[in-house]
Amino acid sequence: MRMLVVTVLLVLSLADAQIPPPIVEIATLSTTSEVHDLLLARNGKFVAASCEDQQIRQWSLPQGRLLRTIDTHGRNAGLVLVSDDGRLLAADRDGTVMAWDATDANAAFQIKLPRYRAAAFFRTSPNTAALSHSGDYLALSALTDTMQVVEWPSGRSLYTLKSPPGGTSAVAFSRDDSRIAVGGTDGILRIYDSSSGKLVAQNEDLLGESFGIDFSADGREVVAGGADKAVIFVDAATGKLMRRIGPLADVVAYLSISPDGKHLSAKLLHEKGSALPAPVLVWDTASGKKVAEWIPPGVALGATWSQDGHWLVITSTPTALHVWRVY
Amino acid sequence: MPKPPLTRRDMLLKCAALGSLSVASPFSLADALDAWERNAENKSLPPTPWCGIGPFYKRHAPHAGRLRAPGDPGLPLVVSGQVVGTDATAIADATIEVWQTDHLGHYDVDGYRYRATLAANSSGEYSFDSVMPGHYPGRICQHIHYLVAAPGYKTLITQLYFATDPVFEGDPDKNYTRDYVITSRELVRSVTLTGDPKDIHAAVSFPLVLDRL
Repeated sequence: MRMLVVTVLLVLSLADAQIPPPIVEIATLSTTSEVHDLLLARNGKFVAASCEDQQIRQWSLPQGRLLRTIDTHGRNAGLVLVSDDGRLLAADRDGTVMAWDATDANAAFQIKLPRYRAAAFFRTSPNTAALSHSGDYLALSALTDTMQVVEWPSGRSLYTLKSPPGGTSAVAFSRDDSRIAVGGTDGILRIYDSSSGKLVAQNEDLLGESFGIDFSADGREVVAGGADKAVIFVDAATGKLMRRIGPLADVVAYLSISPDGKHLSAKLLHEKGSALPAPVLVWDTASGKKVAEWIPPGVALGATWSQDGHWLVITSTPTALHVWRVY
Repeated sequence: MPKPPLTRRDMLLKCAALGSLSVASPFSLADALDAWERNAENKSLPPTPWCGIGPFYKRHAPHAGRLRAPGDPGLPLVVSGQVVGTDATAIADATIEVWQTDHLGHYDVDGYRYRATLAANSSGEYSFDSVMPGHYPGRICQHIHYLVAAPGYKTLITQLYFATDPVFEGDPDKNYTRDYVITSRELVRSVTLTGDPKDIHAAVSFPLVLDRL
């Protein structure tokens, strides 16, 4: 009788629990050169990688078709951004930022910044540039006391935002493009009006640098996380801390809200080195309840939400990139 | 054939070699000779080169000059120097934040081990007691991060490196570019070992030169 009750309770509790879908590899992309940096478009339609042979390769997803290869002409260019329509941005260690339109292998424009985050850190901070959702404006986070907002495709500088002396590490536009959220190397989160560049609000609840940053779907909250091993939700109008998830097992390297706003995902960075695998996580945004956690077979080089609402993560082996549907 | 006259630097080096010139710690002979030459020629000092802040800065580090706790493993290390402006004037009210890994190359991101906020004294001098940092897995060379601020001066963000780092294979002049983050040879400092074999410790001088706003 006792056995029957335990079994019934177990079945009931399993039925009640939200069981995440199985993790499956949805595409394998062949590479002929070792991948250094890798990024996914925010809508999951493109993936691009800067490789050991100093070429940048771009594929379509989910087909996994190689679309183009760009010769960087000897530059040690680390990838900075892949837009939803396939535009690319890469940066050299000397601060030269190069932009390519979706189909052209010739650079659309180049900008020389005094300092840009060294290529080795892109893996820890894939949010060092953000394209507005309209596709017209580019915010470039850099290791200087000013941040550039430029127009695409002209590359014309529109305005600069004042940053802490160490620079900034993460930037995101709200979905209506009215706000820019910036994570400073001083740990302070700043929210600006994107039309004027004026500071609207700031939050000082994190002590370390933010590497992941995003806006909620309705733009009312900013989520940020980084070296503090926590994710904070901040009121975008006042900067007030609303809630916190954590402590987490490791440093937050990337954060992204799903297209429908219902889920928040994170890619963690192993604090003992970026070459060590670390968990990827998905939470229910409203409740903060964790709905999926997975330690990939290798370092999660890139991650994003697909248009149909799946959380995609990419790992690499010497000859291939593996695209996983985690949630 | 007459010998060319000695340069001032050659003359000073000769004096040092013959014992008629000595340099007190914490300055190296090279630093002292540079300063002498600059004074003689009324030249301004070049500011300390910038070097990236790195991903693990943390606000509100404790005000303590002793980062090494009793019994901490690793080679004890004392770093000292003077904070000056490019006109060589001592900056008395400089604040120096330092952070580094432990001897195994691990940053403490949960707490404040091997992190400190220091205040320069009335002569602009600072020092702290730590351990030789290990090699952080994401980086090539051992290093200590600095963030130096003073009213009226540009904030300096830089990193200190060690000439004894095995990465340089004993020749930092030739090999300092092996770590592409290192922006200048000047940031790689010589290491002096003192004490007896049972209680050895390292000392490094790292002067800091700030640019005026």
